[in-house]
Amino acid sequence: MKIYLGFIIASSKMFFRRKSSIFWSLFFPVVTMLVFGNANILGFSAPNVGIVNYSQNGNSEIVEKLNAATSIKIISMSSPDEAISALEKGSIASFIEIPQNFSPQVSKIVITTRKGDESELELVQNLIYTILNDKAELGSGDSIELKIADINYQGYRGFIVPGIAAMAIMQSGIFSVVFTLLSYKNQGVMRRLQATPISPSHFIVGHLVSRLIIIVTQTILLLSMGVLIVGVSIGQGNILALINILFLSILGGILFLSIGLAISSLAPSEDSAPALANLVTFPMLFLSGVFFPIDFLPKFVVYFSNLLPLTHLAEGIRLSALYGQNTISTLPQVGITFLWLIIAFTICAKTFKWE
Amino acid sequence: MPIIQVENLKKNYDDFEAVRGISFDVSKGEVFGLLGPNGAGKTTTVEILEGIRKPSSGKAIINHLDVVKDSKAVKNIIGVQLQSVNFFEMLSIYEIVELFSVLYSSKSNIDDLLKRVGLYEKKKSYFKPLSGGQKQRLSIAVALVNNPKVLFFDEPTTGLDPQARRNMWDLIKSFQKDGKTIVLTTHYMEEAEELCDRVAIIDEGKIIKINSPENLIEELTKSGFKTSKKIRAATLEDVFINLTGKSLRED
Repeated sequence: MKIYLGFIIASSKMFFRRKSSIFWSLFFPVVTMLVFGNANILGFSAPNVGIVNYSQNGNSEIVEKLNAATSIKIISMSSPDEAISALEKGSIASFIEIPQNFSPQVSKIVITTRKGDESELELVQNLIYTILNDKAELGSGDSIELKIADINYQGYRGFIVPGIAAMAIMQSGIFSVVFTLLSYKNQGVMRRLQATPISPSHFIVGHLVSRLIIIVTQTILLLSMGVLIVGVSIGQGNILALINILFLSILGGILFLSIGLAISSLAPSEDSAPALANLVTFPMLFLSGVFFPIDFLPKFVVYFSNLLPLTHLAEGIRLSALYGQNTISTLPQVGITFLWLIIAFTICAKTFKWE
Repeated sequence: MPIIQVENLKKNYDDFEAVRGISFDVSKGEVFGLLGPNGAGKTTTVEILEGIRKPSSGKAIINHLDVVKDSKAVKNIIGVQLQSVNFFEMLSIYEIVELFSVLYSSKSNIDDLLKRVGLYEKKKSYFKPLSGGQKQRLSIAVALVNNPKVLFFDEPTTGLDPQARRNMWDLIKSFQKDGKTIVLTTHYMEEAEELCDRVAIIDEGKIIKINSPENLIEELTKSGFKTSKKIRAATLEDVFINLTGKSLRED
């Protein structure tokens, strides 16, 4: 136990004394978050409008005209539930429900959007009026019903803050292991440790625990900055959601630390380890829903995205942060992250070598 | 009963035989030197004894313990100074010795160890900016942390200036006075002559000869060998030390 503690303390001291490690694991993600959190990503989801058509074959004229409109992009949806969840995620900004065999005198088209996005209603409403006018059914002012769904949508900043927190877990996990082990190996420290009576697991566990503490601290720090400076709300007042975020950051931390270890062991030469680490992290930066939802990607890329561990870690943290979901309701994300952890840990345990 | 017994030790790397059947004994309290040119197999032999490498075949016993089977127990009773001295760059001298004393579960007084090797004044300094001699002395302090019975020094004076080298010799002699057994490798013959009770001369992975330095010299001169060097009353190094003094310069 004392030996583990000795390594944890020594590793932490070395981490905080190295300016580059502070820069990459704390300063860099904070700055990225502040920049993107305050960026006005125009039209992030505004042009996307969902449509739920209750007629199998009817209303084709309206749907066709909506599809032809250039100011919005129509996304066909099968149920209001699907549309609500798309609203929550931000992949659409409003949706239209068209009843069976719509006719302006008897039935109503319903347009739903989120709180704070009322301008969306006007845009879509005007569009539908235009279409109905074309049908020469003017004066049907009551044929549209406007609804505001009780969704606390935090826009792009709400999306990016948990995303950056997840990204930072990956970056710190992988790079803190790859670069530190590389420098220990280059310095010849590993060989000297090998001459002591300790087993490799002492050193590895000590190092990993010290980095895990740093990763969890980093997650807390990043999310606090998100609340205080970017102005998002995290956890929606649900303590279980906050606990789930910490739980996920521990799982994710162990997962990516293990991947880092596996990279250090599997890299054919010492110099190729950082390149390999970049090869692993780079696709995840862009394909795992850190900076934008994976729904924006082409279909076949989405399949690939769903194979990546960061996709599920980021989604889990985001669900807890934005919608106050707990461990049970994020079970798919927690489960897949855990599965990845087992895989990565097995590989790193099987491949570890002192030199 | 010798404290170290090595029997027919061999080590192959793929198709290269680094050590080809080495046998020797070291008595308790002895300073035993392994001499040989670079690549002769000195370091490989020492690293097998230290438990860092596994031999391809053969046997080595230290204090009744097999270096392969009882590797952990062996590591607890030996002190190790490796050829390339390296520690965590971002820790101070004191922190490094402290960490290693935890790794050996030892209760040695760290200040005393640092005083003994002359690093007490520098104990807050990080490892990175230390001079070569200071790094060597730190690694000696680390080697002493578990109060070992046997000390292994792999080329302890390579790259040091004459003052630092003499300081290292004095330290090694003081360890012998404490009753420790010392195995050291070197390719400086005057160092072996100064320190070693017996030496083994190794070349191409084999021991060519084992004896005390005096006996080896006598054997050679008896065979009719005459040195081409003129025998003088002093060497150039004596002149250098006489002019620049014995005190260490790096501090």
